Amino acid sequence: MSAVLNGRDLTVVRHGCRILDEVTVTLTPGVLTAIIGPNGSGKSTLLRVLAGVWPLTNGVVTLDGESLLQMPRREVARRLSFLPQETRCDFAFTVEEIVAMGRHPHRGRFAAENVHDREAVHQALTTCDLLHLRKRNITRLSGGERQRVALGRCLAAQPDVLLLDEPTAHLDLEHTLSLLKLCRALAIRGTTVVLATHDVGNVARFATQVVLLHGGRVVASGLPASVLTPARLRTVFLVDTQIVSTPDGNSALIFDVPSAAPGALAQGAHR
Amino acid sequence: MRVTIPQRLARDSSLAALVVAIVCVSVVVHRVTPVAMLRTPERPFTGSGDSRVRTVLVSYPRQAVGADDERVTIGDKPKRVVSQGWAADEFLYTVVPPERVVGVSESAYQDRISNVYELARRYGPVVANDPERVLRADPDLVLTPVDARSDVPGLLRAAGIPLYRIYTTFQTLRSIEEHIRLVGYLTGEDARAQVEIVRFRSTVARAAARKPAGTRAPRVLGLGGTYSYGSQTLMTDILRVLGAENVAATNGMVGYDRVTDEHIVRWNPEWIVAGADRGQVSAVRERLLANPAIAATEAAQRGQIVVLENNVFLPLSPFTAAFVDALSLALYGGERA
Amino acid sequence: MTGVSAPSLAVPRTREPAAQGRLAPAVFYAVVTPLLLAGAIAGVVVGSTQLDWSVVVDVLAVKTLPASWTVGISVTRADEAIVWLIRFPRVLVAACVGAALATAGAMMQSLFRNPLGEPTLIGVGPGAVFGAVVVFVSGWSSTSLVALPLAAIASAFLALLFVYGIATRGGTTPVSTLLLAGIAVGSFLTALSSLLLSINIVTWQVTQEIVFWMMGGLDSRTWAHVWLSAPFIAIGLVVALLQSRVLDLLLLGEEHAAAMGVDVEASKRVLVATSALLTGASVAVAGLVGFVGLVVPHAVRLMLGPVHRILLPASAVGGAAFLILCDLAARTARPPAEVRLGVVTALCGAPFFLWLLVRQLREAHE
Repeated sequence: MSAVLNGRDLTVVRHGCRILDEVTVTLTPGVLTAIIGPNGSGKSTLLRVLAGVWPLTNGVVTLDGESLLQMPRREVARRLSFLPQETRCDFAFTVEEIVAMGRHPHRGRFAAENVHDREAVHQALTTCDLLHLRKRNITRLSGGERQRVALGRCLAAQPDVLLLDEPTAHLDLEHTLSLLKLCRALAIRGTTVVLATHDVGNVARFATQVVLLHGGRVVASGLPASVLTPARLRTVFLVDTQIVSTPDGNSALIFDVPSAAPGALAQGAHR
Repeated sequence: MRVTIPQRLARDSSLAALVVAIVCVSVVVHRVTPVAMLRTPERPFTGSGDSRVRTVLVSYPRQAVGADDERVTIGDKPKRVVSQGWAADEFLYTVVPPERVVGVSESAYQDRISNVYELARRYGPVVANDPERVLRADPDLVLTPVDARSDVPGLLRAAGIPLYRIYTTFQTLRSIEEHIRLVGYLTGEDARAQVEIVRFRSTVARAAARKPAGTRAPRVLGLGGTYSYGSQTLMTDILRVLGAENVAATNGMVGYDRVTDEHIVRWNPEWIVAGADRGQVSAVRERLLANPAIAATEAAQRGQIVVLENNVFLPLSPFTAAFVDALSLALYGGERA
Repeated sequence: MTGVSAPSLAVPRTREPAAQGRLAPAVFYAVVTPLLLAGAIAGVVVGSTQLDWSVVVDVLAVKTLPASWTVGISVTRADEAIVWLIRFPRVLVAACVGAALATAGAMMQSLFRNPLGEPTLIGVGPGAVFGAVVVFVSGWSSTSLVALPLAAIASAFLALLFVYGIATRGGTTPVSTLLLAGIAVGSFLTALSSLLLSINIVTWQVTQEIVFWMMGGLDSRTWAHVWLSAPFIAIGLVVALLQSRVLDLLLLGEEHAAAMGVDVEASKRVLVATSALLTGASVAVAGLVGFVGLVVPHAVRLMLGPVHRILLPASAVGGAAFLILCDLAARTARPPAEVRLGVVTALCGAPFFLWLLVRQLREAHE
C-alpha cells in the first residue's frame, strides 16, 4: 500500500528554456510533501513529470525502484493519481459518475462495474464528504465542492501516491483548510501525498516535508522549519517573514513586502 | 526514446483494427455488389446505339443495343410505352399510336415548347420522371434519353422493365432518320416508321429545293440565348442541306458553345435564326434588336432576323423537318410544303 | 469534513432514483422506438403513389420469408418494385444515415469538449463532399462501388484532422476557434468542390446532379446505397460504443485522462477516424445533411445525461427516428415535388443551434 516515488536528476528543457534543472526528490509514504516556489519555478512541471504525464529531457522517475517509463500506463495509473490544476468540465455528469471514472485504471477494457469498484467509490465519496451530493450534477456545484469531487475521483483509484497540483487555488478559506487536513490525514494513513502550491503560509502548518524550487532547481528540502527561513524566503519570494510560534507547537508565518528603507528590515525581523 | 514499429502498432491497435475492418468490408462489398448497381453518371454515353437495324419484319424477341452499350431484349410487341425525355416523346408520338404511349416527360405537358401537347392532353399519359408513377403505368418498354440520370433507369431495369437508352443529341438529319427506323423497330411499328421516314425525307427535300439555283450560300447564325451552334451540330447539317453557310462553324466554333457580342459583330451574319416561347416572337425579336451588337449586323439592317416558336426551333426528333421547312421558307420564300 | 473513514462497507446494488433532471433510459426508448418504427412504416406506406399498408406487409413477407410460407400471397410487379426497390431501401438509408450522423456528432462534441461540434459545421461534411466530388468527376466511381464511400471517408478524416490541429490548443477547443476553423476549412473545401465542378470536366447534366446531391437528399436511394453505407456505418457505431469509457474520460480533460492511464493521442486518433468513417459513409449516400449531429445528441444528452455508454446508442436510435421523420416531411410537404432533406433538417436544427449558442455565450459571460 505504500510506495516511494523518486525523481533523480530530472531535467526538462522546452523551447530552449530549462524549466527543471537536475531536480532530485524523494517522496516517501506517510509524508505530506509540499512543493513550493514562486511562479515559473517549475512546480507544476515537476509534478507532471513525477506523474509521468509530461516527457523528461533527462533523468528518471522511479516508483518503488521501477522506472515509470518501463511500466505500462495503466499500471502507473493504478498506483499513482494525479490531479491537474484545471478541473473544468461543462458536461452534466453526476458526482458519483465522476468519482466512478477514477476506477478506470482498475477496470478491464469492457468489464462492468464490480463490487470492489462500488466499494472504492463509496469510500471515496465518504472520505470527501460527498455522499449527500452523489446524484447532483457537477455543473450545479460550487468551486469548492467541485474540487472535492475531483479529489474523490483521485481517491477512488485507491492510489499509493497522490499528486495534487494547486488543489486549493480557487478555494475559500474553509475549504482550503479542510482539504489540507484531509491530505494530511491521507498521508498519515500511509499514502504518499505531494502538493504543489503557492500557499506558503498553510504549507508551514500542514506539510511534513517541504521542497523549495526556484528557477527550476531545488533550493532546499526537508522539514518546514528548516526550509522556510526568513533569509531563504526573502531570496526566493522577495518577502519579509516573521515566524510566530503557535500554541500547538507549530510555527506560523507572517509575510510582508519589503519597504524601500533599509532600516525597515531590521524592524521587521523578529528572530 | 525511439519508438519501434511494433510498439507503435501496439499503441494504435484500435486504430489498426478499425482500418483492417474497413478494408475487409470494402473488399466484401466490392465483390458482392456489381458496379452496374450504381452507375454513377460519370460521363455521357457516347454511343449512338444500334442504328443498323433491319427494317424487314423480324420476329420476336427483338434485341437492340442502346447508347449505353446495354443490350435490351424486347419479348413481344410493346403495348404500353413510356418516354422519359422530350425528344423521345416526339419520336414515340410520331411512330406509335397515341393510346399506347402511357408515360411522357414533363415537357410534353408544357405547351410553350411541346409539339405533342394536344396528344398528351387527350390521352393523359403519366409524367415519367417519378419511378413510382412509371412502375404503376406498367410499361413494356421505356425510352430514356442518353443524358438522363442513371439511377432511375437502373431502378426500372432492376424491376424487370426493358429500358432502352436512346441517343438524342443528333448531329445529322440522316441520324434522325435512322432513329425513326430504330424506334419503329423497338416498338414494333416498323411500317409506320417507314412511312414517317418517307415523309421526313420529302419535307426536307422540298425545303432544300426552294433555294434558287446558282445563288450563293446565305450566311446564317443560329442563336440560343447566348449560345450558338458550331460544327458537329444538327444546325450545321440542316444549313448544309439548305445550301446555306453556318457562320459559327465556318469561324471555328465546335459544338454548342457560348458566343459573345464581339463574335457576332465580327462574323456579321446575313441571317440570324432564334427561338421564342409561344406568343413571345415579337418580344424576342425586339430584345435581339435592342442589343447593339446584333443591331449592327447585316441581318438586322436587312430585316433578316428569323424568330421561330420554340416548338419549331428546338426539336431533335421527326419534328425537326418542320424546322427545316420553316427555315427554308424564311430564307428563300415560297410556298409551305 | 470527516478525516479518516472507516474501512469499507459492503454496498448492495440498490435501485436508486435517477440523478436530478434525467430520464431513465427505459422511458426514452419506450417513446423513441415506437416513433422510429411508426416512422419507418409510414415511410414505406407513404409515397408519390397510393399504397395500402397491407400490400406493404405482403411484399415484405414475400421478400423476406421462405417461399413455402408465402404461397397464398400474390403481389403485382409494380407493388413489389415500389415497396422493395424504392421505398424500403430509402427508409433503411435514412435510418443508417441518421444513426451515423447523430453518433458522429456526439463523438465530435466530446472530442472537442464542446457541445457545438457537428459534422457539417466544423468542416468534416464539406470534406467528405470534396472527396466524393473528386471521385465523381474523375470517373473513379465507376471502377468500384466502394470507391465513393472510401474517398468520402478519407477526405472527411483529413478535414477533421486539419480542423482539430488548427483549433485545439492545450487540450481544449474554444467555441470561437472551433467554429471559425470549421467555417474556414469548410468554405475552402466547398470552393474546391465548386471549382472542380465548374471547369467542365463533366457535362452540365452531371454537374447539376452533383449539385443537387450536395444539398442533401434521399431521393432514388436503392439497395446499392444501402450496401454502400450500412456496413461502414455499422463498424463505426460499434467502435464508437466501444470507446464509451474513453470518451467519458476525455471529457474531464486530456491531462486528467492521461493521468488515469488513457493513451490520449492514440484514443484521439481512433475517435477522429471513427467520426470520419461515420460522416463519410453518410455523405456518400445522402449528400450534406446538416444539424442531425447537433440536435439529436444534444437533446439526448439533456434527457439522459452525458455518460456515453447510454448517450451513444440513444443518439443512434434517436438520429434514425429523426431523419426518417424529416424525410417523410420532405416527401409529403408538397407532393409530388420533394423538399430537400437538408432544408428540412436545417429548418429544425438552425433555431436549436442558435438557442444553444446564445445559451453558451450567456453562460460564458456570467
